[in-house]
Amino acid sequence: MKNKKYFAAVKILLYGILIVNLVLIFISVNRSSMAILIFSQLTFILFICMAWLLIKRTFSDFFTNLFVMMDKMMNREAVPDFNHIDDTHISQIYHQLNRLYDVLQMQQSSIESEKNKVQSFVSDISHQLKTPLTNLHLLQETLKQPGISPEEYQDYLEKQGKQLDKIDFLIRALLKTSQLENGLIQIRPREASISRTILSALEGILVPAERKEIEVYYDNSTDYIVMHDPKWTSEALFNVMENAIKYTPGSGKLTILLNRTEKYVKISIKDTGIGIPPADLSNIFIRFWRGDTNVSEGNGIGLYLCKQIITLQHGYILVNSTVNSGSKFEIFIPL
Amino acid sequence: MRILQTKNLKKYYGEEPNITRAVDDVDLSVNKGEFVAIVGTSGSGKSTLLHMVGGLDTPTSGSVIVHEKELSKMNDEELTIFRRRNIGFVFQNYNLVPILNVYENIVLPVELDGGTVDRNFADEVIHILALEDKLKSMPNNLSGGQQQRVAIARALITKPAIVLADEPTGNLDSKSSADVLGLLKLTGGKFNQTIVMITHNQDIASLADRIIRIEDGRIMG
Amino acid sequence: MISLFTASSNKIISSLADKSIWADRRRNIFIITTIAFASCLMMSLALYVFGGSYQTGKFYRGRLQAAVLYVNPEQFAALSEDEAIDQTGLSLVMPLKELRIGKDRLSVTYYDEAAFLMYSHELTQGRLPEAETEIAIPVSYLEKQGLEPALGQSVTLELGQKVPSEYTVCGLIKDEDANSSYEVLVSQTLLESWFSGMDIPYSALIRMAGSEVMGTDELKQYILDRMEPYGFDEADIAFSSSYFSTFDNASGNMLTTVLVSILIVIACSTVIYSLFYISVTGKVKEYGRLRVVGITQKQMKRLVRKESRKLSLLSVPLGIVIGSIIGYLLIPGGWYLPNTVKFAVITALVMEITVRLSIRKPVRIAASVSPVEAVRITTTTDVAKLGSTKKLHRKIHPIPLQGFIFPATGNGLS
Repeated sequence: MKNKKYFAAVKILLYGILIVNLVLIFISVNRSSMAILIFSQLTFILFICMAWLLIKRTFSDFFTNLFVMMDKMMNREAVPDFNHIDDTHISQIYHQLNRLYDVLQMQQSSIESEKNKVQSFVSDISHQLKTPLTNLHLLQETLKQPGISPEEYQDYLEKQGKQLDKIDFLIRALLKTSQLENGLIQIRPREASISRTILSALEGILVPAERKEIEVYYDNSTDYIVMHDPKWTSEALFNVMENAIKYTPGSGKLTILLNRTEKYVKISIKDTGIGIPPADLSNIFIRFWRGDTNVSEGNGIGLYLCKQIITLQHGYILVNSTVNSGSKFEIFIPL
Repeated sequence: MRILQTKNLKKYYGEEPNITRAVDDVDLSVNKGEFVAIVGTSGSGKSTLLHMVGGLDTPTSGSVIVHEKELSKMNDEELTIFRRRNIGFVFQNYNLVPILNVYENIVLPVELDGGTVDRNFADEVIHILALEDKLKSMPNNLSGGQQQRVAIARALITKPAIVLADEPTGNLDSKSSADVLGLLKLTGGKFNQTIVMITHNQDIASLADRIIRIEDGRIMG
Repeated sequence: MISLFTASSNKIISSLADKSIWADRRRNIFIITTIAFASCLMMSLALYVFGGSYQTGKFYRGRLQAAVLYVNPEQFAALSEDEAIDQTGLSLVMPLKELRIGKDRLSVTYYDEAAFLMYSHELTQGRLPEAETEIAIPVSYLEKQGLEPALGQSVTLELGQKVPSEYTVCGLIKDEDANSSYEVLVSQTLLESWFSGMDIPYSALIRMAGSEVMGTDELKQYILDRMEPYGFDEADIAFSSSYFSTFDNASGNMLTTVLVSILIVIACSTVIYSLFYISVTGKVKEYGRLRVVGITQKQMKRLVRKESRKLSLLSVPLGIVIGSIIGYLLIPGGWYLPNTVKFAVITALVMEITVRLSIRKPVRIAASVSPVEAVRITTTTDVAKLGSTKKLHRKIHPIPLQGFIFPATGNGLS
């Protein structure tokens, strides 16, 4: 702001000199005085010099500031803010530079946060693996012991099987995540029947649904040809359905609906389960987020994966839920 | 990195004892790249909050800090210029300029800044929002959904620090709503845009990474 | 110097102004008409008033200012040499003879070359008389007498015994045959015969140098002062009534024009003000939208001003051209290009300033629109109640004229 006053004062001074110069020229022409004419030219030269210096100073201030800013950015120090927000190109450049710096910082921090996530996930998994492995070892030791009855034998073998399943499950989850991280998930969209995809997802949950006596309803009379990756989309849908079954108590209902809007197909998966508290509605898609329910299966990655898959296909998911009444997942996939 | 922060933000109308507390001591924080939804019923103060965050309205007290710049310390010109460079708006009633065509509407913030339009970026945004063959049309000849897509493009063109969307699907039918929401999410993710969306609709809010509830001018939970 | 670096948004502002003008065409036709009309009025008024006086002025330019009576040839020579006197012509104090021929009156008199011009006379043919029997005579007189209006024509004039009665026409004087009195010019030779021996009662017609800038009284005094050294006092000097009365009118003209122009300007500015005011207050939501997108107050002002400038750029020249045509049609004889150009420039300047002043308040209103207007949900029409925005709670103080015509504007709405 001080600068503005300074510039205003100097501007007045310069105009003053210019006017004096013109007056002198006028006088010199009228009185035919060479001396005055020369003097007027001198004042004009003075004017030019002052204008030159002023411009130079403005530029040099600007350049110095930019230089300092870039230095600080390279050193990851706090970057001073020289921007007087106004309608000059100078202000625009400051703004662009700051924004550029933002972008770079963002990329940097996202790389770091991803790394952290992976690290924590890996440690999580390895932690999780410890328990089943320990159990396996114990069971192994136990089985080595003589004098075990055939029933006990079977029992221990079953327990081992369960632990192996757990390990299997965990390893697969690990694999899937690392595939995701490293971009090894290749979504290969092609024109395919969406109903088929839905049905293939359904196949996976029919058995667990029946076991819990949950009624599954799907009207497959309409179908659309949608550009999507059937395998991964089916997996995504399966994850949602699996969750729905998991969190719905016995003799509940699961309804699948297929609709379309102008630009999307809409797949609704409705359950009559325990619902999701409003505060958690967007949390459910966060990786490893488990909520505080009693259901302890899964590793909090199913819905995250689903969201990834759908988002990669330029779709999106809306959730509506009422506690103790049920949840509705609406999955939109572009046509 | 915190792109938006409010501290003790208050907006009161009138005087005691008939005072209206539209926004009552709100502390809010949004990180870069987040998609945040602010959900509340009608009259909960969510619109007022958004207007203050966007520098359209001055708070009674408290501060709004966007991109480390305190809005209340700026004069009108600074605030306007800051807004056009750093904040993109999407409104329920689109608010396009009727005398300009679609393309001119989209690039208006850049032109007002006296800047140069990044053509590649503009083309990309226009392509994603499927507006290529509508560039010369006038807003009056477009449907609601199309107009909103133009508004989104306009909000994104300066690559702002933050996009504020006030009930973006409020005036749209369900089909256009689905489109617009999808595009908002898509463009937000693609260009790493921070989006703060206001809605009274729970479903729509679930699209966001984080949901903030507001009731009677206060944040819940 | 900061303005050196301003990121120019002129193109978009200009484009917005253009599109806004086109969008509002109906209202803008009124604005254009008003400005053009006012310019036209001013222009034709100026041309009419000044054209008239120019016409007479042209007539009187070379005219004599005063006649010095009873000069002798030596005094005349001295006067001719006098630097302060621009023109000197030789004539007679009174005509030689007044002849009555039928209904016509003939005054027989003498002019030398200079005097002839000073009376704004012109010869269509021939020259002034030199020989004793030569005369110069008005064309229409000859025609009236049934004589052929040609050189060499013979005319009979009874001028007395000392001189002949047959004369030959050597010059034809141009006249418009306005009345039935005519002047016949004779040669100096004839005068000498006629007065034979006596002093010829010459008068010297004078026109002072540098007298264009003098006022009437000043000029009269000046003439008296300059003639004194020659021994001429007030009684010997006859001031040309026609010259001095024309002169007096000049300042009167200026006053009339200026006064009427002021009225025109006030009327025009009232209309422009209200048209722009209505336009701006109706576009509050528009402006609010632009403010949200990021137009600054400075840019807003530039926008509205540019709109008005583009409109006047169209209408002022139009009005001036039409006004010039009307002015020409009214007084073709008073047409004088430098005058016309001068008035065109003055009219353009005055109109430009008028328009700029008239829109000052509307511009300020436009600039003070808050971006909240765009998001405000108006329940009645799109014209938001401006009084509800804090900044605009001021009464405007219109000129009494405006307050009379637009009483609503005094209600606290700005």
